[in-house]
Amino acid sequence: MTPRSGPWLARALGWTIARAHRDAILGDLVDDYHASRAEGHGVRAGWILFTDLLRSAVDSRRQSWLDFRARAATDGPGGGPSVLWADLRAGFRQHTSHPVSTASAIVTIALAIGVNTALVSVTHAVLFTPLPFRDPGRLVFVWDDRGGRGAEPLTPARALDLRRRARTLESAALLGHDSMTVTGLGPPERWSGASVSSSFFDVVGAAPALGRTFHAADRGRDLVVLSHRLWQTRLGSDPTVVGKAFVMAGRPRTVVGVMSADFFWPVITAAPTMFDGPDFWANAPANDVPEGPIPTGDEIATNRTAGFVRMVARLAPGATLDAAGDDLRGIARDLGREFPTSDGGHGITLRGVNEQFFGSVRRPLLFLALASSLVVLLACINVANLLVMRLPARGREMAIRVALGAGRGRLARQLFVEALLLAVTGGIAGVLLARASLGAVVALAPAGLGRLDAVAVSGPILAITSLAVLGCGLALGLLPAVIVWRARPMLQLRTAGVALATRPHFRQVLVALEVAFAVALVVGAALFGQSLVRLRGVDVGFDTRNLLTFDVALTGDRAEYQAKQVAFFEDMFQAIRALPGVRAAGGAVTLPIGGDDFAAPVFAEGQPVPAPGAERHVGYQIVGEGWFTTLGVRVLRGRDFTAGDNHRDAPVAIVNETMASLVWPGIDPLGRRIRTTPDDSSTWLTVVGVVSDIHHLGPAAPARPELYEPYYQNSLPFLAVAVRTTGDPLAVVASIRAAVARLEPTQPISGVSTMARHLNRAYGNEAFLSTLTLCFGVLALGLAVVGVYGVVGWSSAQRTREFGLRTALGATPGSLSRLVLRQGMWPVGLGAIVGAGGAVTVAQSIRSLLFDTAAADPALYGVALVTVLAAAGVACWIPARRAARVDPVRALTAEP
Amino acid sequence: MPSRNSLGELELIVLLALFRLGEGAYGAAVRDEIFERTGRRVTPGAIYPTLDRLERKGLVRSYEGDPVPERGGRAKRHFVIRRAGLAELRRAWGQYAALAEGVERVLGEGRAR
Repeated sequence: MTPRSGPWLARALGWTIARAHRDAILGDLVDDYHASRAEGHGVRAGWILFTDLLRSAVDSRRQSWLDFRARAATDGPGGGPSVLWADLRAGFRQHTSHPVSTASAIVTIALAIGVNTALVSVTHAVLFTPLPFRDPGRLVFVWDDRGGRGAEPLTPARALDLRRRARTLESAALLGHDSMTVTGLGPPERWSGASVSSSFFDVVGAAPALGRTFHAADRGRDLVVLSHRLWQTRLGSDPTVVGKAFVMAGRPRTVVGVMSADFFWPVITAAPTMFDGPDFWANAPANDVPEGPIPTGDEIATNRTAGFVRMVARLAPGATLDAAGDDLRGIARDLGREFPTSDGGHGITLRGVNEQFFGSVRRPLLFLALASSLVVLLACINVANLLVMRLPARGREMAIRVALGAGRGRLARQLFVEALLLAVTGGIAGVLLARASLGAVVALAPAGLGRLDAVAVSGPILAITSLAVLGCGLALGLLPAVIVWRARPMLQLRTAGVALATRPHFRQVLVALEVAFAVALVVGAALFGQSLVRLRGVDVGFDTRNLLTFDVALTGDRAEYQAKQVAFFEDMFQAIRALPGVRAAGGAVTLPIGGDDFAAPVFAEGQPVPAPGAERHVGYQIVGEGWFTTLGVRVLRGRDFTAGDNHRDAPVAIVNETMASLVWPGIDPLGRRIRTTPDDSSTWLTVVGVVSDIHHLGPAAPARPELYEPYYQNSLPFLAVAVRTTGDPLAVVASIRAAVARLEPTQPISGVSTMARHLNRAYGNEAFLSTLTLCFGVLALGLAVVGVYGVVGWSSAQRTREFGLRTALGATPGSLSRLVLRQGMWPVGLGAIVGAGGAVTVAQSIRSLLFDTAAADPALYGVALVTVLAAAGVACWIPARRAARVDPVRALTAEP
Repeated sequence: MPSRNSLGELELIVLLALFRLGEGAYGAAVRDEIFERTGRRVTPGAIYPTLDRLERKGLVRSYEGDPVPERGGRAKRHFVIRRAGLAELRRAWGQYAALAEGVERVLGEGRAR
């Protein structure tokens, strides 16, 4: 009687006994049992068998443990940890004996961890580095809300009223952006900065690196705090700068402090952006209203029409954003009743500091971080698959280990150590890759992405990456370990290979998963790629090539220059147009795409005046002679401005097509009159021409109605200049500088750039997203192809005999190929469907990041699916062709 | 290879039982012998790993016997004490004897039947 055929109790509980001596022990116990029964002790024999079984189980396990401990203590160098050491050495040998698959596994992990680490670094630096303010959660930004037109800057009087009346705000500062010409530091320079309430730094809660900041008590004095960047680049980090005075915009200002390098403060715009912030903060005049580019007097504090003021406020202790919103909207309603013509119908938009600073980049960054995590997952699946496929070939090795007494735990641990070895090696390579590629990612980042100076693979990043690597290692080890765990009873020399071969279903699930992830990422790449192509394809309405742009802000005594500014600019344009390489030159107060944005309400003659808050707003531009010709904007009807349009008593205007059809639908606008305030005292502008549309706000914003006034009847001390060149626009910069200096040696030109650069900046987000998702898509596609090829190739190699047999029985090469293709492609198809479904869901959440691209565009999904299926098809086709070429004689006579 | 470690109690008992049984004893017999002489019921779960360990230590050797001539009969594993095993037994016994000298009378009271 064999132990296996012994009483059911022995069969049921046999597994409790340590494997090494199970048969012998069970045999003895069963012999005892039979002996006992033979003596007539039926029930008693069963009971003894039961107790002896359990005692034997405990004893045998304890003995195995003692053996294990004794071996651990004596094997190899170093005593206790020597088992781990032995595992490591074994793992190393295992990997180095498969150099190709090991290298591909490490490269796969390194690439995935590399891109993931780089993106997590960027995301961390931009979004999660704490803001350098006291209690930043309480900082809010207040914007005007003119119902449906989104956030806009406040008018000075409205801002001051809100600040005075708000009970939920502890304190608030007004701010505006202003560039100032600085003299007294060698040649005059133009610095872009901010004019802010004297309490600004106390509201924000920030301390300087050098000197002090200004406070509410400094009102009325002309002080300035410099940014760290300006201090470093323009002032050579001069430690004695505090106390010095610069002439800024014609007035001496005393430097009281320099902010620290980590004081992050972007440009505060109604639509959140993160463009470079101010280089200095000058305190506002005694009325606490920020200065703008246009000189103003004390009456500005009661101005309710010029919306240029931004407001940053600190919530009162205990006040929430919602409570403050209710409070401020209540005040806005009161103001609407008190000042119906200016404030009627206006609301308030309140934004937390995070929303204001990072609102434009949070979604793209989080999306990219998520996408790169998907790549890591894909890499894990791929490498896990590789390790699982190695297992059957290791049957002998495993069987020998078992024969030498290795238990399940021992084998599983060995596999985990091997997987961790791969993951850690790949992880280290990945971190190095991330460090190397960080520069490229940062260079790709759109101009509006701030805080990139701080990007580094730092401690927290390494912690996150280490966790990811550990997770990868465990995930990689888990599958082989589970397989070995389950196959352990069958691990004998002859059968181990078969026991360790996973069922095909299992590998097919992995393939399907890989394909699903790849489809999702390729869909993402297709969506963002289309978005970028569409954006680049937008005709902005003028020729952006060979167009140089720069700013000229007149310096010196304003009173003197305001009288002479028209004459100066005329001379300047004459000089520039005469330069070699210049085809045309013109000026405007704001530049399209790269420049500022002014808007004004319009009231047409003979049409009813709309209710306050319901006015039609149009873009408002002041342009000089030759502006339309320089840009290549076509005059469709009527005429361009001429030097003769300088009569202030007969003002003229030009409108664009969109405005013409908005204000005078179906009517000829030429000769019609229009004005920008409803007061009867204001003058009418006569429309003399209609020009073609341009996208003033950049390619992503649709062309809007624009109203153009001639510079001659509205002269200001500053102009943005556009110069059309015959060749490289930057080549004429030196001669333009010289020409301007000949006219006026103290006059700087600043902000030199090209329209192509402005345009690239406008493409920034789309370019960043599409380049990176394209990288991820290609990576994912590559990984999926390798995965499919590996699985299909391996399993058809296992079936060589079967194919030989089929051929011998009359199967044609074509039918064999089709068989392999069919069996390889169905998990691919399944994964593709699942992936496309997932992509549809994810795409909905990134809809707002896409330009003129439907998140569910069937054509793009079709392209992505065809790409992945074609690539997977090639990966299946190679093994399929190999299957077709199997020589039946060799296949059937070969050793199995 | 003689062990660097001294014999454990169970190892000593098993070795002594083997010595008593002589050439070719097998696991069940060792267990019976221990039970016969000491009244101690050692489970097979302890016997076989111990024999295995003694073999690894080079104190005993084993050979596969012929299957028992009955249907499904198992091939038994037979154990033989090696020279090193005998030396180890002597060494261990010598230690016990040396330490027990003079207190045999007290120890004798605890003697098994």
